[in-house]
Amino acid sequence: MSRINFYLFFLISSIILFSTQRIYSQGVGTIRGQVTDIKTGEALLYANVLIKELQTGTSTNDRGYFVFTSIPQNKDYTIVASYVGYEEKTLTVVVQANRVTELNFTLNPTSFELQTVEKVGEKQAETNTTDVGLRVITMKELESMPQGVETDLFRSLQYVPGVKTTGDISSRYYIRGGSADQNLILLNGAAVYNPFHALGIFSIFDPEIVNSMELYKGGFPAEFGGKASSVLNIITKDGNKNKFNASAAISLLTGKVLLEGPIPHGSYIISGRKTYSNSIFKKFLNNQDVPLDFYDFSFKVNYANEEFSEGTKIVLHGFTSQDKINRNSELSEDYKWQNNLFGVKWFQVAKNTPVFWDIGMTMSTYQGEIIPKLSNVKPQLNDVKDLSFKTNINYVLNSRDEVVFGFDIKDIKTELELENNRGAVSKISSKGSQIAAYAKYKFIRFDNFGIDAGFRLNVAQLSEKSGSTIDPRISLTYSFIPQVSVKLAYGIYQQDLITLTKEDQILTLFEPWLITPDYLEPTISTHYIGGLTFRFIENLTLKLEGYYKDTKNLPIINSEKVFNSDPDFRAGEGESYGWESFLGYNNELINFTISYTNSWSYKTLDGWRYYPKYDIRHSFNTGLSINIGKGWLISGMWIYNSGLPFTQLTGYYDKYIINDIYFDEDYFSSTEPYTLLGDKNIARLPDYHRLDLTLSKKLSLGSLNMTFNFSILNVYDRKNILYFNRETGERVNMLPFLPSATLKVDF
Amino acid sequence: MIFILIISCEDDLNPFIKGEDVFIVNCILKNDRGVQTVYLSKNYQAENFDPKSNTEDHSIGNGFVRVFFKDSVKIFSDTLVTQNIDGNEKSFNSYINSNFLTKPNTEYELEAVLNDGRKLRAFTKTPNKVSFIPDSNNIIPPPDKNYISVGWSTVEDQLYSSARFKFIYFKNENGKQVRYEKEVPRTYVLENNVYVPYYPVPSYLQRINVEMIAFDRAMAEISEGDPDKKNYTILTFILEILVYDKNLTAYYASRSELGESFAITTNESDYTNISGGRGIFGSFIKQRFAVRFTHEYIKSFGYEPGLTSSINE
Repeated sequence: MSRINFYLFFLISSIILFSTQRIYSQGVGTIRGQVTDIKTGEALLYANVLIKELQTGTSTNDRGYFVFTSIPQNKDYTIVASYVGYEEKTLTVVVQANRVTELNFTLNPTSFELQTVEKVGEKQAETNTTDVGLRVITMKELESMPQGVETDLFRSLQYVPGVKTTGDISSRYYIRGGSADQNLILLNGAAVYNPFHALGIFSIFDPEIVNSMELYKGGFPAEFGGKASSVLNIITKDGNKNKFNASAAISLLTGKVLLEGPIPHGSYIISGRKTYSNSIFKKFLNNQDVPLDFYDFSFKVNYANEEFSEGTKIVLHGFTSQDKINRNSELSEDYKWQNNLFGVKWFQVAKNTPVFWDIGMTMSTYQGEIIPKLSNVKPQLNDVKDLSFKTNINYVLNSRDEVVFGFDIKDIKTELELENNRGAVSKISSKGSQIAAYAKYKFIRFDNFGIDAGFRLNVAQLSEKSGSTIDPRISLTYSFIPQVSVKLAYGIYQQDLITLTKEDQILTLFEPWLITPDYLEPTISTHYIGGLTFRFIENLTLKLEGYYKDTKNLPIINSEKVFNSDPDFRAGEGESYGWESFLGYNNELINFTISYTNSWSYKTLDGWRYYPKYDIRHSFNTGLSINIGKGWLISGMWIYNSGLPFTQLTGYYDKYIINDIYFDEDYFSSTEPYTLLGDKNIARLPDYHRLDLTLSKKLSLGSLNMTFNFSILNVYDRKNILYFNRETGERVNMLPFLPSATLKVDF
Repeated sequence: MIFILIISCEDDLNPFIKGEDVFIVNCILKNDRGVQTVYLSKNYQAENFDPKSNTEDHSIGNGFVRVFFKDSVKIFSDTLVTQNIDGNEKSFNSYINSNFLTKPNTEYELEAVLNDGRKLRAFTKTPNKVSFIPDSNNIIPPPDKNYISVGWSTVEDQLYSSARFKFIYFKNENGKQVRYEKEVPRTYVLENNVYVPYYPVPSYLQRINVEMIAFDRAMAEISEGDPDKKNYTILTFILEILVYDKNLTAYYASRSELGESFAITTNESDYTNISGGRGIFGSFIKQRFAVRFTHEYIKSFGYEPGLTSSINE
């Protein structure tokens, strides 16, 4: 309780102390506005805004808004807004005392054929930004990365230092030693539980609908909770506010259509994508024929009528995706996965006060099912229903400091039916409510110093063993010279919604979610992060980050479960640490990145410490994209990972195979060689590396804008090993040399 | 370009490491016969990742095997058994006791002492007998259904059981009545224009449902191509039920874990209840129930009815 009292005292004192400044501040005003795309009206998230005279910068928030407070009155100010892929724009404004001056920027995209990467004012914006562990990826950046069979959000993450994958066939990612289920994945604020298509090869989010995404690799702030490792916050586009637009695209795998346009006082966007061919899956799945079929569909409608309510924007959004493997034979099992999401959100910008707030409700469901038909495969069913209510209030003080607080209430029901590898049946139906209140104070009044300090008060949690707790979250930045920032973060994170994950599966078909059972404590992870950011010239950034993460009560599947009454999980521990470096340079013609990560991850169960399957000691990525003019863009990315852990073989023995219930008397014909394994994950597979190249061309034909992409994955046909088939001795490799192409047409 | 040339396109992988010797015991005690067998073997290495390239005999001789139960003990004799494997005569060591009839609900302890003095031990408890749940509809064909459904109950839960219908018939072959058994699958599935029998697999279910079309097809199959149906006499219909002990339940279940077609598992677990080694020491009990049938049903195929019985064996 002493910790709770300390943070409550801290927060209340801060609010009282700093909110009074508004009353007594004289001779200063506020500039507030939004940065949008001039053609579509789309908000530009995380754009840079700079007051030249004051050399003060900031970034737009996740709705495209920015605020400058405490600007001395009666002076002309030159404000510059810039964003990747847009021409920078300069406006002048006169600030009046005790008034909020609205200043909206509409940026013009660089010509269709000319991609530019401009980031004016970034240096100023970041000197006090408490963003250690945060990586924002805009769609313009995503487009400049090498494309694969499909442009994929999750695959783009593997270029981010600290993010690991276990190979080409899965887009599941692991961050700083955390397991995949410890990543919170949000679509417009709503949790998505199985965001994968095609057995995990692709994400379910069509990049065409995405405006921006921010990835917190750790140390994430108080407004996020419920997961122990990371947050991926995906924000979709609002749709073209100015004119109707349609686009269609085709790849070797899917066809998709996107429609967007204005409605009275708003806009809409609708997108759908569906597979039309399975043949490309063979490349991913060792030439197996997979009758896989998937689709996804999303929409978003925005309504902002000043006559109805000033400063209000109402958003309705929805998403559905389904994957099916239907096999012709009654003796072969079928599979089905489905996500559904629907949400409504009310954004409000307060008149004449620098306050933003939003309130929203979402319903997110997931159902995964293995339908055995007449096969020997065991039936499995997982159902998740998540009804969430969230409100967030952001108050910008005259001092430029911000107070953020809100509530996050979830009602979650999970159902799971499965039979494990010992024949033990689990039928778990659980329901719980998660009620959290959070508050934080962003102390950013100084250009060279910032603190984001807050807490998350978990009033009620999903599992019965979780009582009320308070999780502190602190992040700070200090720039002792403008070119160098020191960043630190610390936080405690709890999780009591987990997956039943088979650690030894490279390709997992069924990762059911369930509320942490009563016999386990919730997972608690503590993050310690430190970093340095160097920005010696405008377009060159060097970032160094180190981290240490300690995780208690880590649920690990009980592989020894024999009886129904045996627990499904056992409590283990996790530990990870490492350091990451990133160097990026960009200008109008080139974008160059290079990163290196050196990391260690461990899990401990019953005193036995081992490397999890995603532990990679060294990762090195380098990418280069060059705008060669006239709509041509060439990009390449080379990825190197040192080998993944694997368990060695110590030999074989003849295992008695009971195929028939009447037990063949011919015992010696009923045995098969079976492998004996050494210590778990003690050895390493060969290193992984791959070079991908993409050539893209944009061209206009009358009213049609076309984008053609030609990609080659694994240019030099590296034989990256996926696994060693112990039964056949076959070495199964990942993606071979794989050319692919996509075509997109905008009408 | 130089960079691409100097990097390797494939690295070798040696997935092996030397491990300790591992000894294996396999024995399933059966209640439907008096001969019980224990098999002892050891692990081995293989070249070129092909374990079948090692053709040595992995069985272990000169061991001493006993099974204890209540106040008794059964000694197993080290016996050399010759079998034809892939066209080659091979000899293996087995441990046999020909006078060992197991009983339900009894604990058995196996002890195998290897010739180096190493001991391997394991326990099994045979399941209780099951009770057949009487149902007036359990007659072939059932009066008002197109399938036959038979249930049973066990004392212990969490044990696998499996059941299979079969019928016994005689065929007149050159004036001599030859006895045959024909198993009836749960159903037939049409795969590539061929009817494939689908048999029930062991599970926790304590009921078997068999479609009458499966009986019809199985009945028809025995005389397929033979116009002289009168040569066939259907003696009786039987339901056989096997109940596995908990070890065999877990062992069988662990083998079927690999069923998910597209999952790739690298470290599948290996269930054993052998202390000090690998393998399985389990047991099952088998019971048989006669199922009533009507003469009209037999005659509808042109066959002769033998017995009409509802007597349990």
